[in-house]
Amino acid sequence: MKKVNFSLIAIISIFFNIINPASANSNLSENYDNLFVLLTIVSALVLILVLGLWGYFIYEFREEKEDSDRTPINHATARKLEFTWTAIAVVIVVILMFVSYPVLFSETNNAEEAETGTEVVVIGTNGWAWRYILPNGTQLNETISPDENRVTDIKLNIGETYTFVFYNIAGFIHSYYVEDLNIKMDVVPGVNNSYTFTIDQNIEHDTAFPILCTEFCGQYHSYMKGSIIAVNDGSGA
Amino acid sequence: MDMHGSIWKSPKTILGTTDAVQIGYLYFIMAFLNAGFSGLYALLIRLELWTPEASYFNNGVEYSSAFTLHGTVMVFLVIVPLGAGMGNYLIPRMVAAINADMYWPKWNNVAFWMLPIGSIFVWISQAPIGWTAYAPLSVTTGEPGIDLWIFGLIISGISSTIGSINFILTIWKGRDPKLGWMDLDLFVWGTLITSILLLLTTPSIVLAIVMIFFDRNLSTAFFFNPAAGGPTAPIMYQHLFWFFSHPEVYVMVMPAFGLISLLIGKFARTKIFGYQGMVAAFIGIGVLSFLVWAHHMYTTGINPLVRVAFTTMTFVISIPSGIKVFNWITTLYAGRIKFEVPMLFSLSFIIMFTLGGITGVFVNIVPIDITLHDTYWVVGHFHFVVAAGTLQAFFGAIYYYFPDMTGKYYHKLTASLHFWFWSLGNLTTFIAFTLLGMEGMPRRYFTYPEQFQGLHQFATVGAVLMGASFAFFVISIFIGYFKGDKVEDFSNLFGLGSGYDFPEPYADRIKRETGEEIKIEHSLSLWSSSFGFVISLPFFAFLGLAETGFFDARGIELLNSAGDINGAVLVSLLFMVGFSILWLTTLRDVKKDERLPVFFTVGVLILEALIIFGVFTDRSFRDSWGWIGLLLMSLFVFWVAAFFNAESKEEKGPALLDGMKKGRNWEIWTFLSSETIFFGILIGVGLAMKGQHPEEFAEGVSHLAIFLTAINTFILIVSSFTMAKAVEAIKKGQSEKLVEYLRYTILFGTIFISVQIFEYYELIHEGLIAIGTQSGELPIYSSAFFIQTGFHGAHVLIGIVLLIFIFLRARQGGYSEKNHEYVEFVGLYWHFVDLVWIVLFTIVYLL
Repeated sequence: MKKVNFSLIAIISIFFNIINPASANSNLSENYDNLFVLLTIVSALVLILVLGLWGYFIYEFREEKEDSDRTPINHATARKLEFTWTAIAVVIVVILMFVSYPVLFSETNNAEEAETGTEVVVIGTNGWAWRYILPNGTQLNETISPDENRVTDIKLNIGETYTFVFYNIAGFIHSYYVEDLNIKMDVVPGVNNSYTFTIDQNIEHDTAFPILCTEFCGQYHSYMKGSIIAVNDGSGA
Repeated sequence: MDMHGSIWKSPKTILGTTDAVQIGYLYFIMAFLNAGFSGLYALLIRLELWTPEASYFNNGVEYSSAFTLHGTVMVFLVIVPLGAGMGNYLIPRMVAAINADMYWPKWNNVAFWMLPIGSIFVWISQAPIGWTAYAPLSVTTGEPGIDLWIFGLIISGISSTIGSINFILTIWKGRDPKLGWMDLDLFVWGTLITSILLLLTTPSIVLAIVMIFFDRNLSTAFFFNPAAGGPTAPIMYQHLFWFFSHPEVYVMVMPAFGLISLLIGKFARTKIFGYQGMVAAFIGIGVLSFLVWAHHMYTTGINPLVRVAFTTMTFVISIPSGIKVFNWITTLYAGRIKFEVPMLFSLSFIIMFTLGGITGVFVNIVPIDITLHDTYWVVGHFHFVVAAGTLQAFFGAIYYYFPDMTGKYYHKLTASLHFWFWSLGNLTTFIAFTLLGMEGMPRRYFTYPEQFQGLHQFATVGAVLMGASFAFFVISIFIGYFKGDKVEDFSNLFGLGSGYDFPEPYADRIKRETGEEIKIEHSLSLWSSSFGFVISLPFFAFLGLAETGFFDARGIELLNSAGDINGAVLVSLLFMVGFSILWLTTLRDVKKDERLPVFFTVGVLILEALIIFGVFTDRSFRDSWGWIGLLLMSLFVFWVAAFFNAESKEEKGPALLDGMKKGRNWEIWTFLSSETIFFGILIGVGLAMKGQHPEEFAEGVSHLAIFLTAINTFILIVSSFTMAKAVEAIKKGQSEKLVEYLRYTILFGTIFISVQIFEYYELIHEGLIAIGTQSGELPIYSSAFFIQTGFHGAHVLIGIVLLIFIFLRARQGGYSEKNHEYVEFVGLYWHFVDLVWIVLFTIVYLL
């Protein structure tokens, strides 16, 4: 039993180290971090319960053990037990629904309805690269590095609210993914999605947040690179 | 104590067996062969990912082929066939089937032999599009392999549809009437719900990938068409795909649920806890699994309200799954647990499935999903459920039933090593996957940022452990088969004090109760397996037609842009040669007058090899009208095979006993439920396209010849009337009237088809509503119009073929007052097709 719990504590601490809730980089990260921590705790409890019962029963009712009490569960108790864990499952699910719904409604991706900030157009291209059209009309194009990566960097002001409007001129779907800012939006041909976010005030000048593509888009799927560079000298888009 | 005789006696028994247990063995062998190759692909993928930069594969396309085939093969050609194999192996005995076999023994053979054919298609395709094959990528990517991949999946889809109908009928109608629903083993329940899900969702994916095929080769505009301005409805593909593929997840796991329930009870020497709750959970999961598909699409920008609905349903479906876990654990309570290898796998399954479930709950919460979607988190999640979960259940079950299969025990040491390597490998790899996802590593990456290297190497180590464990599995089985310890006492397997405990076979029970002897024979049917092979011929011919650019210029471009596919051609030719040799070796044991199916099938195989050769190497062949001739010829050959399969008298399966004959319309109703879903989705697709492009549809409708079609509709309704008259006549035993009415029905059906062909001809020549070479000015409307009316037309054609079957037989007086169920089947099918037309006519022409 004890062994099992130690490994669990290890797993949980790994979880916490990785998510590091203090590092909210954008207004969206906070939701993610809070929910993730909550869910990790709930999951850990469920896992401890399952592993605990599982381990205990295996230990107690193994064939070799002579002195265990092997009275079967009677009918009435069985009913109660089944009722109990159905209820537990329902309660957990209701709690999760309760905490996740407000966030759900506040996030909308529809270009018309979204709360707007400085509008930046993001284009996913046929050449497996990101391009941007900044509010002042400048277009940022990719540079192809010697190792075939298509790199496009964009500077954004810290603290300013941006609305990314996604266009796709490719024959396949891309997905715009900035892990550190908790942005992910599929860039679907013929569909105009948008995403509104703000980079947190506490971010240091010149921090780079790498961008990756998360929807499989063919040969150079893993070569679509670039960063959002957070700046506080007003040089951002 | 192999009561079913050895299948390996001769090639004739391998090809022609209709015994469910033997077909089960064939499924196992096929599935594990595929699993071995597919696992090898997984190892190559992990080898590539050892370092961040490109190393093993030459480019991203090759790497994409590797993960596409790994996914496709594992899902469609390993896990689903393993479920079907276990079902074949156990279900007829678990339900004490009246004929001690599947409900349709011959169709069972057909369904199996379609699987190797489908597998070959998929393996040689080397499609680089991901197993999800999202449009428009799958439309715009050049490789002709994608078309092969599509046909491979369609063939295995048809196979699993036939299999599902067979399971449903075996469980529902074929079981010993004395067994009540609540007496059945949970594996039977799992297979029943699984089969219903497969039956009702397969049409969705078949339609989706057929639409991709049309977009690629016939210039339709469902997902992508340059003439229609590029992308049209890429998200529609995802809806169609996940409407199938989410239930598919439960299709994969529910047989495993059933097996685990059985194994845990056996080795803990207790009864499964909460049987009724488990059954309720099966049904609950089955129903709910239809209502959660869009949770794969939270990041596509779909309406937030839709996301709320699907989040809710997904939360709800986690409740029955949770109940199952607790029921398994409680089954251990007060047991006397014996730790043999099957039990180790079962115990491990509980934890792996819990981990898979928990990681799944994370991605259902939208804000979390937005970060984790399409990262390695998801990869970890479904590998926990499928590789660590489902496969462990099947491994456990194979070990548990090994004594029944061979009369010997497996080799214990290697089996234990198999278990420990597999579990440790699972945990290492899939926990590494989960952590990678948390750090933001996207899926399907050929190269990756350096910070992920450590965890990737962890994952690779785990994969090597799994590879080694699969080797141990094979060794354990082989040692067991050749040198294993003999089973002394079948009522005390593994020293558990209990045996397999199948219910008393129906024939035994009847003999005990009434003294009446029922003779069960598992006969051979070479025509059935011949049909299984021939089914692919029209696909090959159509593929050749499309691939060589008959329909439009794009085919030629595709072919020219294709890479080196000679390897694939070589492999497929080798397979064809191999199959031909297998067939020819049967000649030793086949009587002279039974040799026809052998020569017939070998001829078909040679033809298929020629087609592959023609399509992919001899390019001068491409423009000839020969392909049309070949297509027509292959349809005729197909027809001949179907006819002989239905008519061959000397090879009839076990005679259906009286108990099964009652209410046999079930067969056709089960089939029609699948067809209803098919047309429902087809109509839904049409309406969705209409909603997006109302002007084009309004323009399109104005060009249709509505009056002509109205008359045509009337003709079809009249044919339904004559069909009803025909059935009525034979119910009274009037054979001549039957022939007469059938003649009218065939005539009216043919008129309907002819008018439709005339209408198509006119429309295409007018040039507005057209697809293919003469792409029209209304590409989106044309696509919707032709796919809806075209699929209906194909059904009418099949109906006419079936009518001709029964017409020919009726003329020889093959039906009587008592024996006319096939007339009724075809009648119901015909009425269904007519009914669909009335709905389609209203929606396509009138609204």
